[in-house]
Amino acid sequence: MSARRKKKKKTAKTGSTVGSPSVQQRSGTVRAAVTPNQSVSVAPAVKNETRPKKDSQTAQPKKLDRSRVRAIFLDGLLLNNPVLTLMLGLCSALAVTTTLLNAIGMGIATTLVLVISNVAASFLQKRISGSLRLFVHIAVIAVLVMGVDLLMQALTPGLSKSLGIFVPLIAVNGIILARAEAFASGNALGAAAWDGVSMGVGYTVVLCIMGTIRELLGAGTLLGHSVFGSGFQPVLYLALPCGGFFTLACLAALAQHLKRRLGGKRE
Amino acid sequence: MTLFQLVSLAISAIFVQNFVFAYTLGVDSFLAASSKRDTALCMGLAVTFMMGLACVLAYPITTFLLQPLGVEYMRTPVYFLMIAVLARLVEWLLKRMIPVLYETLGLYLPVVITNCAVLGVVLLNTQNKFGFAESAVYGVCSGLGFTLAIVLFASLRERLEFVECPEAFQGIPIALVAAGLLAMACMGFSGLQIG
Amino acid sequence: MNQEITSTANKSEQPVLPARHFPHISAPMKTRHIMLDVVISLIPSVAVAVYFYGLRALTVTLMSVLLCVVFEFLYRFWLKKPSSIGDLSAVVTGLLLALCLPAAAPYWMVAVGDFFAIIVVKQLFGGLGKNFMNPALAARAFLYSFPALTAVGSASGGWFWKGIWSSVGTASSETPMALMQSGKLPSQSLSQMLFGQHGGSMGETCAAALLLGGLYLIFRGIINLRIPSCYIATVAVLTFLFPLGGNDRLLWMTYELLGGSLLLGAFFMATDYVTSPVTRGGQVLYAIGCGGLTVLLRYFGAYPEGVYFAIILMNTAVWLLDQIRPRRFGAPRFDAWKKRLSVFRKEKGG
Repeated sequence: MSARRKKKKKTAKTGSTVGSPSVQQRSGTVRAAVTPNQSVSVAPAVKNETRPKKDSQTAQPKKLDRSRVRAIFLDGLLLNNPVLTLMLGLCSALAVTTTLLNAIGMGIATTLVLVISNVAASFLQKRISGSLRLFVHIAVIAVLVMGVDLLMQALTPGLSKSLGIFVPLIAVNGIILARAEAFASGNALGAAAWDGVSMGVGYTVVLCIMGTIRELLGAGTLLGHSVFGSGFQPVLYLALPCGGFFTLACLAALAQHLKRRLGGKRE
Repeated sequence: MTLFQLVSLAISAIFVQNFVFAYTLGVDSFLAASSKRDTALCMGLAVTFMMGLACVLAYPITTFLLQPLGVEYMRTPVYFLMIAVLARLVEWLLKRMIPVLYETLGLYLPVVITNCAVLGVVLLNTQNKFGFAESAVYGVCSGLGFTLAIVLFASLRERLEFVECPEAFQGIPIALVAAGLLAMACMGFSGLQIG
Repeated sequence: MNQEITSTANKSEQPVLPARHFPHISAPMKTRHIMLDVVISLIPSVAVAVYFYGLRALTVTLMSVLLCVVFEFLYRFWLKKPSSIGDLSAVVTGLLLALCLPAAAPYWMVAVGDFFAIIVVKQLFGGLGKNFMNPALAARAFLYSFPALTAVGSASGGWFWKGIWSSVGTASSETPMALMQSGKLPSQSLSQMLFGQHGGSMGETCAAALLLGGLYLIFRGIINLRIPSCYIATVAVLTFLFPLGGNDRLLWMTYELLGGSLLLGAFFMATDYVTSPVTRGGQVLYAIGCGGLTVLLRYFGAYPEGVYFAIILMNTAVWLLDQIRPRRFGAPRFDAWKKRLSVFRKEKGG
């Protein structure tokens, strides 16, 4: 709790969004996705949605109902895509997407960790309070990542080797702690798990697109198989970090453009 | 390692293996904290401080705790918890003892916990099997490289306020293009070997 | 009241202000004239390149210029912005990029480079004046993505049609810069370096033509002598003090100054108004930084030519360099720095 208060205090002081950009914006969007008409069917949760959420410990965790399933999934995939809109988890997105296989592997691993971490955060929200909750949560994530790392080393050693230090670095992936704080701490187990899945799918989709582009143009292969033949001159710089930045910039511009168009159509 | 080799490692850590442009670690904070130059400098210094401290502490933990017990596979949780505890401790100490420093650096320390660069440098030290002096030098100098990158980028972003780019690119995407150009410029350092 | 105003307006002694927008007094020179002067100064280099490398040098240069203009026109047209090809800056970018490439470079590579220079580096940021990195150099650095093709030696495609359609394969002789990176003096004599053909990009060939162009620009007042002189002086001093391979200092220094793209970079690229500092101190620091980085990258870097990356690296620091000695009109000399330090002093005391 104190971490969140400290983050809010920080944004007020420096005036710039440090760390988790627009925490308020994210939770605001989730709340906006549920209109009063749709929430009528879930009786106990209605009262809490109309009241502004001040302290997550006094409010009831929001449950998952059919109307929210679609909203949360769209949120994670398109509207608030963790990589393109929220700008989280960029370290691995830029480094790992040199090949499509790496991107898929990293996406699946991160989704797994994200889902279980969200469930844990939702579970812990009432039971432990204060900064101790942050440490417990960090411990859970770290042990989880260690488990995933060992699993990958055992099952897919080649992939684990090519991903290198980025598998242990899933623990500091911005998405995990950000979603735990922004969403999972205020929602029930089902909703938190589904949000983990949606955000993970959104993350994986973006990573796969980046991986495809960078591998096709940067190495001329796809999943290891040569696509263009021997006469093709691959653009080496696309397989390097600068190419990652360029690809991410184009995708982020596309996402912004689509969001504006969709937002304009809705209005 | 000789002094010359340490200096060579230091230069390599700042320019050749720049954490933002060569390893793409710490890019989240790099983008988020670079809207103003002062914020960027403070974030950079906080990250440098934490990286140095984390590397200095990680070496004895690895050598005297993890390796003798044979639990090296547990290094991710151990390092992550160490960084989290360290960040909290340093923040608390700064708040009590040096308020001026707390105002500039201390506010960024909680964010530094989730910075890929801090955990990344500790893991890289283990991967490269560095000794104590090398770990410390590598930690501090890669932090300095991060600071240089973020300050340069912040000054670029101040200049980017005057660009007239297409609507889709306004905001973060054009900043990412600028970061890509900066990363491409740093490609000149790749393969640099002194001595 | 109204009568008073009309009566004063009708008085014949009152000067009649011209009915157009300020500035009312301006020099007749526009961007187009500046760019035209740069094009004229580059003509000797292009002519020498055609003399040594054949007609392909001309076709590559013309293709580069044409594609730059086309890309800029299409981008502005597509985004419904006013066309900017009239200011000839695209022509200059095309020329400079062509001079950085070897004559044997394939046309598609020239196209990729032009696209990157005009669209990504220049127009995406808003066009002339809004980019922070030199477009031609950034494109040249990007073209290192094709390592096999940029490491070409001297092209000997012959005079006429043989070399134009197909890119000739790499020649066996190594470029002087590659030799110098390993500490050996190149086999060409000094006069050959100054006037003659040696391997490398088209603009590296004839130092005399580049010097001629540079002097023309200085004579016309297009560029200031500050940046080129500091840049070349820094490289001269560093290569004199630290020669590689135990060679004679003066000889080594002269080869370093005449070889590679140093003269092209110092006179035509580093002096670009948009991407170089505005303040005098900033310009000097920028030039010294370029020189230092050039020598560092030439000696220890992976690529044989360090000029390109040196200049674009310093381009990224220009905004910072301009802030080091900020000029405040009417204020004492180090006023800005004193103010910055006084804030720090107050914090410590309070």
